[in-house]
Amino acid sequence: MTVKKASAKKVTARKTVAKKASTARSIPRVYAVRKVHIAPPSSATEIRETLRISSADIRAALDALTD
Amino acid sequence: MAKPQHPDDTAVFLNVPFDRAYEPLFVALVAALTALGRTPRCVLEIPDHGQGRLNRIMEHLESCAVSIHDLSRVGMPARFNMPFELGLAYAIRTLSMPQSPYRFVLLEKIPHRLNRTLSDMAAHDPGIHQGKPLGMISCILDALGTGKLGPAAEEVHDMWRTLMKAARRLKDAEGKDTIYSAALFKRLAAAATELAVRADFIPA
Repeated sequence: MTVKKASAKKVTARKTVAKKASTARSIPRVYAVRKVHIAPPSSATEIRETLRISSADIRAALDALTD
Repeated sequence: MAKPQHPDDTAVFLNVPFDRAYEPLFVALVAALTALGRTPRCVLEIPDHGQGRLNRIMEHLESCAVSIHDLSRVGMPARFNMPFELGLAYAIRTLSMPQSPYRFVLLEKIPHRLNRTLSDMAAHDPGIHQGKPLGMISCILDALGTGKLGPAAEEVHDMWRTLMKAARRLKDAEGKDTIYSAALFKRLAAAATELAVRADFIPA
C-alpha cells in the first residue's frame, strides 16, 4: 500500500489549528464586564433608606446643588 | 458571622482607592450607579478602626448582590486593600454563596495590565475606564445597565459635572479636603439621587 505523505505546509497548518483549539479549551474566558446583573431600579426613597440618609443630609445635599 | 438571607439586588459594593486623585472617578461611580437605580455601598460607612472591622466589611460585601473592584492603583505607595477585598468577594461568590446572584465587576485604567498585576484573574476581562469619568460611566452602564432603556453615558456625564460641583461645595461646607467620610458620602449619595430623579432616571 502506498502512503501519501502530507506536505510540510499542510502539517504546519494542522499544528497551528490544533494549537489554537488547545489554547481555546485551556483558557475558559469569563467576561466580568458585561450584563452581569439586571435588577429593577430602586427609587430615590429606597436608596436613601438603604444608606440611612437623614433629612439633614438631604438638606445639605440640596444646598450644595443650589447655584 | 450572621449572613443576610439574600443580598440586596440593587446594592453595589465599591472597592476602590480612596485618594484625592480618584475623587472624580468615585463621583462618576456614584453618579452612574444612582442613575441606574443602584445603591452605592462602601467601607466609608464602616468605622475606621476597632475590632470586627473585617467582619463588617464581609457582611457589607455579602449584603450587596454586586461588587465593583478597581485595580488600577498599582504604583507606590503599594495599596493592598483592593486586591484583598476582591479576594474576599471571590470567596463569597464561589464558596460561601455559590447559588446566589452575587457578581463582581473588575475595573482597570490600562488595557491588559491586569494580566500582569493579578494573573490569577486572567480569565476575567476588566472594564477599562482610562482614568476618565466618562470612561468610568461607560464601564458601569455597560456592566450593570439595561441597554436602550437606561440613561445614555453622555446624560450621566452631564449629571457627573453637576455632582462634582456639589461635591466641592459639600467639602467646603464641612471644611474637608476629600469626599471620603461617612457623612460626606451620604450627602453625595443624597445629591446624586436628587439629580437622578430630576433627570427622570429613577422614580422619586
